[in-house]
Amino acid sequence: MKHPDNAYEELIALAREHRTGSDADFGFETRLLARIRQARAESEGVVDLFGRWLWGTAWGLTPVLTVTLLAVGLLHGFSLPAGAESVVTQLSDWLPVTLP
Amino acid sequence: MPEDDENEWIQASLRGDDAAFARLAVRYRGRVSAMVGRFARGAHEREDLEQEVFIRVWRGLGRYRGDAPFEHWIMRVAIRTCYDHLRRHRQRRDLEVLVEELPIRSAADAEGDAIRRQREAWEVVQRLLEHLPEKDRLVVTLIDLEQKSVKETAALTGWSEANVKVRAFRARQRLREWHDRLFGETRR
Repeated sequence: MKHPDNAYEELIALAREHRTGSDADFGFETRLLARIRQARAESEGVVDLFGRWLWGTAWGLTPVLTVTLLAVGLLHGFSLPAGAESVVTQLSDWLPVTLP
Repeated sequence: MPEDDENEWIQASLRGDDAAFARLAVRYRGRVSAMVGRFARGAHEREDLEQEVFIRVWRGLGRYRGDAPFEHWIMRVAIRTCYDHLRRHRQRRDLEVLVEELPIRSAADAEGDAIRRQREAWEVVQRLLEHLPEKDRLVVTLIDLEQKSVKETAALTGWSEANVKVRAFRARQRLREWHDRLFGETRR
């Protein structure tokens, strides 16, 4: 008869000796590289998707922004605010063409 | 020199050189495999876990600061991966059928070759471990099966040494209790 505590310790000691890992290759490196390529493609896909979404949103907003600008322009009669004319004149000096 | 090679491989991996990363992975594969094997049920699960560990290492390589040996860092990633795996794939097989299903008596039997006895003992211990909470299982596996110290276990898990000690004590008590309940009578 074995003391139960000893039996438990013996069980743990035997289990400890059991080799749970493996050094056998079985295409480890090939599979890992394939998964890395897949992970990279997925992350690039996310960036690509986000980029496309950003452009799509920008294009979608273009008509809205154009209409808004035109509406603001019409409301203000396309007149420049006070003092803005001189700024425009100063800036036009830097242009290679003469403004009418 | 191996460490120089390793630093070069890490830097090359960060620049997108997958072949350099593969060399790193091959170097540590044996140690990672032995560790994750303690938490996997079967070779397929172990291989999947190994891959998962190295994918996490690849993704997180930029966070490795070099202030600790690379092996410590990679093993911490492995432990976190195993812990997540335990939480995701909780499976508790009935302990009561263990006596009939598994030849525990042969673990103490003089007959039978050593490898078979070790495998059988491992199967029994694995079944007992399934019934512990994940954190307790992780701690007792690291200390009693992987023979890590309390300090090493605390460093690997990120938990305090006091926490590790309490968990190890509690887990051992429960394992002994289950073991004696199931096999005590069989042995007498």
